[in-house]
Amino acid sequence: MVLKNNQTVDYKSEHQRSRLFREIQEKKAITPDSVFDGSIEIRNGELLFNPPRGLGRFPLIMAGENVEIYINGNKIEAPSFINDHDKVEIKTLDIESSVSMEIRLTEDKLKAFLYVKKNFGKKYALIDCKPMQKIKVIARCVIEEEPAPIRYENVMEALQNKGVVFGIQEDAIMRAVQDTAEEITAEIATGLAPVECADASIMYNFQDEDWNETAKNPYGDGKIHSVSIGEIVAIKRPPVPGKPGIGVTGEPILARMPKDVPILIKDGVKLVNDGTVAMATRSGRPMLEGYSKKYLSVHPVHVVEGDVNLEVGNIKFYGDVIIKGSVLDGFSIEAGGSIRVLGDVLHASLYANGDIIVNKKVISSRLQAGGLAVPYKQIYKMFTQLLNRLKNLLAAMDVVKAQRAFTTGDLKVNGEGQLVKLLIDYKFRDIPNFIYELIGIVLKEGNKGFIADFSQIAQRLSEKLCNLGPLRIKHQNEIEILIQELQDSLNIVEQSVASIANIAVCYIQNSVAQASGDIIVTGKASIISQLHAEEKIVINNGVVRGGLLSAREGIIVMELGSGEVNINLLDNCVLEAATAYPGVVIRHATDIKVVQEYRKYLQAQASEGQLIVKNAN
Amino acid sequence: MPLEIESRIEKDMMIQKMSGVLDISTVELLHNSINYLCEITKVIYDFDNIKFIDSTGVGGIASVIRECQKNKVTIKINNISPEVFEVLDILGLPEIFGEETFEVKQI
Repeated sequence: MVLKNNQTVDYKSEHQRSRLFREIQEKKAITPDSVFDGSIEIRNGELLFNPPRGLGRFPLIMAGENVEIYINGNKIEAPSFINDHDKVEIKTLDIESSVSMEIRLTEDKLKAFLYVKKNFGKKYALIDCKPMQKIKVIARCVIEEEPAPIRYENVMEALQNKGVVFGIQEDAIMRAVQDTAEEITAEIATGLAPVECADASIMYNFQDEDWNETAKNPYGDGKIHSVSIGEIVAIKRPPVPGKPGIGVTGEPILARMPKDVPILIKDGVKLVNDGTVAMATRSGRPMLEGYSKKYLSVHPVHVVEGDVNLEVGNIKFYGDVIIKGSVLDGFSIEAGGSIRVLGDVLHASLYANGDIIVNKKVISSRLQAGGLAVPYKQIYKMFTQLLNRLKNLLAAMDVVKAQRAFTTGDLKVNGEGQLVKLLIDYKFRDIPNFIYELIGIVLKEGNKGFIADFSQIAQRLSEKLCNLGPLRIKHQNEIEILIQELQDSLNIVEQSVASIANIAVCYIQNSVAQASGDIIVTGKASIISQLHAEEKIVINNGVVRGGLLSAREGIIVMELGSGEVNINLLDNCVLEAATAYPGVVIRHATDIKVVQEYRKYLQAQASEGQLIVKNAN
Repeated sequence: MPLEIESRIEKDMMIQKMSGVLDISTVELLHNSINYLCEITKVIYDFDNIKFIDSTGVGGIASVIRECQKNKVTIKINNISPEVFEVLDILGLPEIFGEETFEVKQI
């Protein structure tokens, strides 16, 4: 048996056999009758086999590095015995040299890259090994072949196959061809990028009032930010389309379509010049309102040049109210917008949907900012639920009418209200209840007057969808109109729900103040007053003597006490006082802590149901 | 197509086999079918041959079920074609009167 690299010779000749036998006998000096193991030898790349004698062991062979061994055509993975009848084949794992080349386009087809990977070829030869009973056949690399270089023509052909026809950089291809590195990445074609478009934008000619600035100086200069009729309040910069580019495949690459943003307007504003300019149609305060969409409006402003007294009387106004003097004993102001008093508020009541700012003192009065948010929130919830149910009802009507087994002859005669009635009776039984609840809120005495009037829509809903009302519906269009009206009303409510109203006063005594946002006392003190803020109470420069402070986010006070001061901390609210005197009572739910001694930098916090009082420093 | 009702009584049970269209022109027959229940404690409507229905017909079925339930008579509507049942289902009748009242024809 003779094996050569990648060659198989089935059996050795008689001459070879006797030669081998003689050699082994000479080496081991063993007589023919002795027992000895078989052996294998690698000599000059050939495998030589010597069978065992007597009770000697058969030789073992196993594949080492860069070698595969097959015995009788089966590849061996572990050391294997061979005998003189086996056909043994040894293969060296030679590697052919190769070059792979690929053209890749970027997703936007603006660039084409050439990727080249070169693999060197390797030729192996078996390492000689002396005769042994167990051998591991190993091959080593004797020749390393360099891969064939890439050619310019090949690259051009590959580009053509990929459809690249534009912006081909011949210099870059030449450099890549001459590059001897094993891996090459080169940009070999570049398209023409499109010119980006510019989205539309809106410039407002007024700054939304910065609440923090106002709070710092509520005295202000008496200047009221306003626009007069005909004044421009906003200008739209129209969208500018981009220019198309060309991809490396020669196709045009379209520029992104610019986004158009319309100026959304409400009362007191009119659009001119194809909707690119917003102009005030009345004098008043320009405002941006709304949660997701911002609507521009000009709130009417009612200005009282002096005091609110017997001559002026109580004021109820749907816009902003500005009092240049004081609000005197027993008078009240209700405003759909904000209230600003440049003087004092004495034994009076101020209710505003927006902010309340009092430049001087508030004595024995009641202030409520954002108080209308509560009914608006209820109405918003009702409208949203009703809108969803009505949309579902309309969809159900369409589905029923499309059924093969359903005939519509009676609907043509008696109107589609019959189907609406069936749906409300059996599938949408909650709709009338929603409407009754809505009517209850809309017609509530306290909500009448200066919130938007929703009684008409509530009445129409009731007429069409409650009791026998549906039977009066002739066509489902009537439901569609109701849905549209409901959507319009919802848009109005949405703005009011999102608004946060604050109170800023200089000094407050024996009064009650409630705000859906912050309450800020900028002057000397809050004396025996009840302050409730849905966000923060800030009395940075003054003292709190007596009264009750309650906030949802935080209370910051310079001096707390003396006098019996009650602090009501809601969940996660933090109280910080630079100074606190004994007798201050801090509550959180049923947890009560009383400050027993003079404290500096007091901090209290309601966290996870626990009231914690400590020194901040 | 008119509505035909084939009625028979077995002990205290009345079986009404209905064929045709249940719509505004025939719903009166459905109403009349429960006029004389007397000793009857169970009514079974076989809707095997009801192929079409309109909203008046649906209202009629609801009214008959309500009337039976008021008089403590068990009512069942059997062999409803899947198409007709789809209409009843969208309108919410099984949800209100109980799924067990309606039995869809097995095809």
